[in-house]
Amino acid sequence: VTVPGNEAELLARVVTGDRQAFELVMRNHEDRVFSVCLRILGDRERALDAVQDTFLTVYRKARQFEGRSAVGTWIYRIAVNTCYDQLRRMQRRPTDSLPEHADPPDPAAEEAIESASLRPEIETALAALPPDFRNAVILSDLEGLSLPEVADVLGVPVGTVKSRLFRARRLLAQRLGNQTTP
Amino acid sequence: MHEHDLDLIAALADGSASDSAGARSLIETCPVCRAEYEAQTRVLAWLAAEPAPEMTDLERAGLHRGVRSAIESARPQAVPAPWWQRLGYVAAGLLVAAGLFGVLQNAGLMEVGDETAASETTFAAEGAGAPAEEVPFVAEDAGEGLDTLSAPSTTATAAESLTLPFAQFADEARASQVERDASAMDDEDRECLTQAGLDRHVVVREIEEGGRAYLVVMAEEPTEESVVVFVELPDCRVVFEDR
Repeated sequence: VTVPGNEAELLARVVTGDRQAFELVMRNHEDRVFSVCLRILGDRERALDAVQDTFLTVYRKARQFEGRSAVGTWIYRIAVNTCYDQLRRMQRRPTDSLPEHADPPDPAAEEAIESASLRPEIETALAALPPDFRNAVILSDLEGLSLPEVADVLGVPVGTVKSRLFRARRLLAQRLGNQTTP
Repeated sequence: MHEHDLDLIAALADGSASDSAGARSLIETCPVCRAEYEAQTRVLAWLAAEPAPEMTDLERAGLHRGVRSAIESARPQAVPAPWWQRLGYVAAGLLVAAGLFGVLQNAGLMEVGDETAASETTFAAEGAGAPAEEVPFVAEDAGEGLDTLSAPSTTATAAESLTLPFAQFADEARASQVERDASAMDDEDRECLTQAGLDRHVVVREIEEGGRAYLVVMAEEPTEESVVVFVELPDCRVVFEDR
């Protein structure tokens, strides 16, 4: 179990160059960061790139963590901003090919796409939401962050998060119609 | 029916309502409120049923390898030394050369025009004038797993100082939470950003570094974590990105 206070201590050790502490921080958060990035970017390769960029930023900027939020919240904020930047770059250069990886194709990833991605109808409905609404839903309803945590990650007041969530769910309900709950 | 009431119903659905009793009475008396409650709870149930995506073992190993490799191979970007610093190197070189010349002449070891001495003075000037172009970010355990990554050596401090001018400008740009919008840019700036492929960006400021001028550029809605891009003038070429 990761205790927030211990996480702050770990990050303080990262500042001194302790890479074992960095490894622990990364292992504590990499799964959720991957999940957030995949849901924002909708592509595993791009999500993995964003996760890597996120943790490199964490390593580089550990000294900038001021302890005003939990370490996890700070990391998810970096992750969301990294994804925003990647989306902006994609919009700027829409013809970019997918990132190149030296690794051979991963057969397990094909299965993971089937078993762990959003159902297509939900993915389509989410993709149609305005980005601010979509990110609130991803962090709150899919990732389970609390309202204050989502507000901290997105840098907006809690009231704004609530408002975005309510409207987003309303739009999703309209798009998904009367489908039965799985 | 006010939107406020609908928000109260939505809050009841996700458990964040401060006035649950009021929301419940609305559901009982107002059909629109009931429909809103059902729609919100239905969507919450759909989303809650979605499985969390997971990395495969291969993806995880690749991620760890990529992070480790990026940290270990992090080298400072080549930043040209400022002109005054380069002048300093040249001056220092000339001083050393002059000193050497004087010593050799006093010792009677050299006549003016002596080729051996000329080559020595050149060597001395180069030694004094050449700044370290690249100081590796030392990786002591290259090839080991993420578990055994070593702490950066003190050499890294010297290395990082080379990137300081741009990194410092980038940090300042982020810290100021840029408020300048696209309308504040002149046509020349806008044209330059277009040429650099940075249409949805704004020029935060213009700086001079190493005798060259650069535009400091950020995305239209910058955050503390935004990438800061440096565009060299007059070519409008992206030369550095600070992440």
